[in-house]
Amino acid sequence: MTPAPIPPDDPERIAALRCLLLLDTPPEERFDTLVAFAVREFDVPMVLVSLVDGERQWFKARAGVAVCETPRDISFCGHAILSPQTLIVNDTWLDERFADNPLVTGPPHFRFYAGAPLQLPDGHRVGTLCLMDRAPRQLDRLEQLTLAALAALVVEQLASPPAAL
Amino acid sequence: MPPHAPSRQSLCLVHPDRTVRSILAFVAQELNFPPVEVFNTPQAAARFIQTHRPAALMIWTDDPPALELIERIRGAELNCPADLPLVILAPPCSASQVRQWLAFKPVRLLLTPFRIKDLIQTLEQLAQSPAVPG
Repeated sequence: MTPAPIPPDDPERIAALRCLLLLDTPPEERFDTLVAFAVREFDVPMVLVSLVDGERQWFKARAGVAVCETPRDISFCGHAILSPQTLIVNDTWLDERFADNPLVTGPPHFRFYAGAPLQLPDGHRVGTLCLMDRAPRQLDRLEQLTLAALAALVVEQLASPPAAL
Repeated sequence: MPPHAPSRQSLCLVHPDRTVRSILAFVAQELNFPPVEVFNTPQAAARFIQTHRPAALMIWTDDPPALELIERIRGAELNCPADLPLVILAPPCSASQVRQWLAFKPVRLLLTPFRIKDLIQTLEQLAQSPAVPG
């Protein structure tokens, strides 16, 4: 397994993430709605809005995943934030970075992963909108664009304060 | 311009769900489709159609104003061709309702559940269709 690399701008990236004041906050409909949309559109069992913090990835919204965070070093999203492009792993068993990852060899048994980075207007990639499945999959071009569009909507929400009650 | 060059006239989308509107506008831009003008109500779309000439209309039809807009277009009451290419998006409905929608001669009728991907592929077909005459 390749542990999630730490990008050179990580201190600034984490500062930008923490300025959002979203870590460890309760679920919010504005994010849950987008996750539910992704579950329907892509017909996948697991979708996350994952925020990559210093030592962990924490899930602002989740479907099909029981835990609210995992260690950063075993996270797929820690890899996905290294590039502005969507990271797609069609079959984790065939990818040496992930084949022996505990999230692959044990629950929740990821076999497919697609993570679109959540890039803030200042350029920092603070997390991902990601899809997972327990079977290998492909994501065609239209689906990749749809995922990127959904990620842009998540970013829009990250940068906006919650609606007044 | 070749006779069947893709039109750059805008495509008009009416849908109540902001997520659907945003995704279609984003993907259309990424794929260099004609611009997609999005509206959350048929009334707003009618105002746009009066002053612009969209190449096609894709409309969610679960309320009377949507039906009224389609009837006005087909009745040549708006400033657009009466045969404006039309895509009807509808919730599950009866056979008689389907017949009613088909009577408007849409280029496509999509009943839920459909995926965003279906809408994008439909947009792609519209973007590649010949320019609207006139």
